[in-house]
Amino acid sequence: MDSRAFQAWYWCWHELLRSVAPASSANTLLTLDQVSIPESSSTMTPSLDVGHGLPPSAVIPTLMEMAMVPTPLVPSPECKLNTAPPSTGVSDDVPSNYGPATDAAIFSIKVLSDEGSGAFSDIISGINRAVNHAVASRKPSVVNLSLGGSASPSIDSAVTSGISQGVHFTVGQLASRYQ
Amino acid sequence: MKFAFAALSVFVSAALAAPQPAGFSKLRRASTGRVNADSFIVKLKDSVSKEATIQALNDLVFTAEDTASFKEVTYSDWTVLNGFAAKLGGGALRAMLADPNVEYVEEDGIATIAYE
Repeated sequence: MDSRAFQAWYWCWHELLRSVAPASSANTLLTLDQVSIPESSSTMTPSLDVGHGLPPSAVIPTLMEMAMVPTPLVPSPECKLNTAPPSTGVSDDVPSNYGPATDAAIFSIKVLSDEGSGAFSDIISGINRAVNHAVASRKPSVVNLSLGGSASPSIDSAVTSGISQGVHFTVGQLASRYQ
Repeated sequence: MKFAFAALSVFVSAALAAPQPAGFSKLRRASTGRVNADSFIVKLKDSVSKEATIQALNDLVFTAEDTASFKEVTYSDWTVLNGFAAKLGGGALRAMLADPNVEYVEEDGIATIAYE
């Protein structure tokens, strides 16, 4: 299980456990290794003899908690299919090629100084690197630049070349350029 | 198509008739005035060999009285742009502006990060 799948899995469990144990009773919140309910749990009814049939490692929930445990105690299908929390708008009825690109690789190419400014020639070198990497990877790619300054025919030319090779660009400019 | 030819010929004749000194129109200045000092981006025409132009620049011999001349290629590995960046001064800059293979020489301007 890779880390992203684990995060989604953990998030599901976290939400599930939060619904089991309200925030007001945080000290009784079950941890991940404490929710290993045996198979018989679906038919188990709360009784005073709660220890019977449970493995020694299982933490015995209180009667109140057992009453709140949804059955079966497994992540819902949505949680299994989605790799992101529902708040991102992803749901099963949306085609898989829409929504957040959770498998996207993000590369940061530093072309400006720590003070936030840099030479056009450095920026062109950054564009050059991004375009060549995108073309070599043969994957859909977007280059994002948020820069302000003089109009530059050479940067325009470099971006145009990248676009002609199939790389998308979003170039943000400060409005002051046009004032 | 005829119109395009006519427009082109008018443009060319106007450019030839312009009273600017040779090479002047090839210099692209940064409108903000913020530049990387003495650094220029030399954009070559599409069919021109970049290696040959850089070689010609390196082979350039300055005259003794041209003490402000210097040359140093800083970026030569671009593939998205048929050109290179270089520190140029005096005779080297004049040579690039006069080179018929050069499309334009642009001041290496300074950009700042844009976030709001």
